[in-house]
Amino acid sequence: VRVVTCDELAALVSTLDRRPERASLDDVRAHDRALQSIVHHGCTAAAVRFGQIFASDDEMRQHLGERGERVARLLEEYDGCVEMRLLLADVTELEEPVAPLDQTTRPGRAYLDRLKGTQQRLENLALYAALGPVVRAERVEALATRGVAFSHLIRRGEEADYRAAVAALPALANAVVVGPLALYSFAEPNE
Amino acid sequence: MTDDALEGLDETERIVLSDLVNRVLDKGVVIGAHITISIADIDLVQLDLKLLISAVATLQERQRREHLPVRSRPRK
Repeated sequence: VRVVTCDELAALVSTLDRRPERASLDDVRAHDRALQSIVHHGCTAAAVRFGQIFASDDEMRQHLGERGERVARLLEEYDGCVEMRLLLADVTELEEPVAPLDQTTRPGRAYLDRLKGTQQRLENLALYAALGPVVRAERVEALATRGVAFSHLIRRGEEADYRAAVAALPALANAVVVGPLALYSFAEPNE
Repeated sequence: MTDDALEGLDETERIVLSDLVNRVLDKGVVIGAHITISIADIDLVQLDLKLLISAVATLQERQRREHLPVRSRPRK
């Protein structure tokens, strides 16, 4: 892994002998480890999506240059912050309510309605207020394993305070805290 | 994910792995290159669906921002 600079930004890149068609779980872990290592060195880092390949450093600089201003603005805004992930394996509030059968509802519409309902239930799961001012921003999403992941933006030096705030809430006794991480959920606007 | 990937993992390890895959593949800045790599030993049946939904939502949002028309199938 080496550093390529592009104006005011620096990108971590690695060189591949050939364009891979498939990646492994180890590759996914390596991507995350590289990001975590810079966070541990005190840098504010925005994650880039896994699997982006460029023909050369110049091509990468060209693409980064086109979006660099927005990325630089984001890193400036979140300077000194890291992302913490709080994972809950079992969130009963997300269980689908048993809806009466409606023969007139088409499968596509029913599917979209279920998605909308899940999103609404997710939004109702906010922990922001309960954890206090240590959390500067929060995003929440459902995981494929039926769990829920909260992303919390905190100041780098406040990790211990964050973990103490989580430990103080009995409802989070079984929560798993991962971090500090590079900015994953906060690297892009909330959509 | 495949049974191989999850075999022997307890509940905590499963959710941590699920979160790792979710955030590395679905989060972060997209600089502009095509993402063509498939993941060899991860069954993304559930994750693919989530990524597809995310991608459609992102596309619609970008189209809205850029004032591009959103094409839809004509109603019969």
